[in-house]
Amino acid sequence: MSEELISKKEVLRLTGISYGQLYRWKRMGLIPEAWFIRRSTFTGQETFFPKEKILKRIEEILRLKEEHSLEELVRLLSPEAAPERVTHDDPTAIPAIGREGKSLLWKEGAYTFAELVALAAGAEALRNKTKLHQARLLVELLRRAEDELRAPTGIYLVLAEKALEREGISVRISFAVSGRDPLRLDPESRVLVRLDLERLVERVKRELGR
Amino acid sequence: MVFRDDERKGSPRKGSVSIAGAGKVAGGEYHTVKISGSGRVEGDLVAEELRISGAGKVEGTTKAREVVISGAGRFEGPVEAETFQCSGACKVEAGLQAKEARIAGTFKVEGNVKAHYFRSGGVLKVEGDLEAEVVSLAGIVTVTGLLSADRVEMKLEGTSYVREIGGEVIEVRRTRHRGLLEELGIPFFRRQGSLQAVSIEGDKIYLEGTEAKLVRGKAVTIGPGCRIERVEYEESLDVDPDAQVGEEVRG
Repeated sequence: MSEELISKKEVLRLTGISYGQLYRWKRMGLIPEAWFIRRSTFTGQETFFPKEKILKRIEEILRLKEEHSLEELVRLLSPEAAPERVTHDDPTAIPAIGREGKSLLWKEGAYTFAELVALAAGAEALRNKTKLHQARLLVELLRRAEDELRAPTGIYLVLAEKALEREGISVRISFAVSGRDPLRLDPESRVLVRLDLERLVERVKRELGR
Repeated sequence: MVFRDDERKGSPRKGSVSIAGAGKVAGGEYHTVKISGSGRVEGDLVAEELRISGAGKVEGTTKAREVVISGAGRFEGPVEAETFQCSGACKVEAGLQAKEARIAGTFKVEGNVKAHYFRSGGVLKVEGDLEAEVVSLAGIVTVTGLLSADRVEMKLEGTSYVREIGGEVIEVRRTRHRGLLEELGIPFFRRQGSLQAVSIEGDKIYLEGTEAKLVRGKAVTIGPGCRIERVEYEESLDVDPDAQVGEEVRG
């Protein structure tokens, strides 16, 4: 299922382009932000790309740049927007959200990248048989978490519930938390869903880039 | 006090408004908005010119050809301008796009900055990415995301942090101005400027006073005061005797 990835260094070696070119094309949106996939490796963080897409795109840029300006190339080659510029009108078309996510939508369209990831988290919870109001907690937690989404490595999301009994009254409380691993809850809380934010962000990016 | 002109019906020219003292104006389309004293724009603003001297705030989005701030400015929505000039203190809470941005003083942006030319001296904080064709920074800089440009120039004072730098030519230098006591011949401890980064990638890299995990480039010079965990280079590597490099990898 998953696409083959290639490291940034390998991309430069195979194509012969410079760092300057790679970063310039990224700034212009010729190489979509969504293709920059950050992974932790033994030397720290490393950037990877979907192999087939990036090599094809660079080959196209190199072939066309003689007769077109870079601005023209953006229009020709790169309809996919950078995540911060994403607005998506039909979130359920993204498999990570799917039809399970339909009940979580709260507006007609113009969903931002953070909101799409939030919906994907909620939809995943629903697929794990949580209740709708519980899945919404995850959506609320994530939809404004731009910082965490920019550097999601090592961040986990947990949806949990616990029962409180005091003086004959029993209440069931659900809650959603995000944080770096190890994320510990008291023993009376029951974890309903646990998600790896990095994987979730990557999945949404990849499915958007299609 | 709020003065308005040119709002006669059917006038082809858009109205201008100026606040002197304290006041507020509704959002909308204007030719010029001038705030001297203390004022705010309630809502989204479209204008040829926005000038703030004193304290001004725009509570919505700002689209203007020219933004000039001397004093204090605060933008609660995103800002789009051809030229953005600020001397004093300014905060942009939802990203800045400009052809040319020139900053002196304190400037904070929540969100990304995109410009052709970006120059700043003073205290700069970008909570996001800073991208331009040319970036020239002096003073104390914090960029929590990626700083990317064809040409990146940094003159360090104090402690700066940039998570990632990427581009063609990257030059980081410590400024070496002497304090008054030193001018008088009295030795005085003065910490030199420094930069902390996770990774720096470029075709031509020159660094001073930089601490980084990874530096990767074609022609790399690691100057005095650097501590780099790993350098990967293709063509050349120069390391100053007053620098530490953990690992050098060619290829």
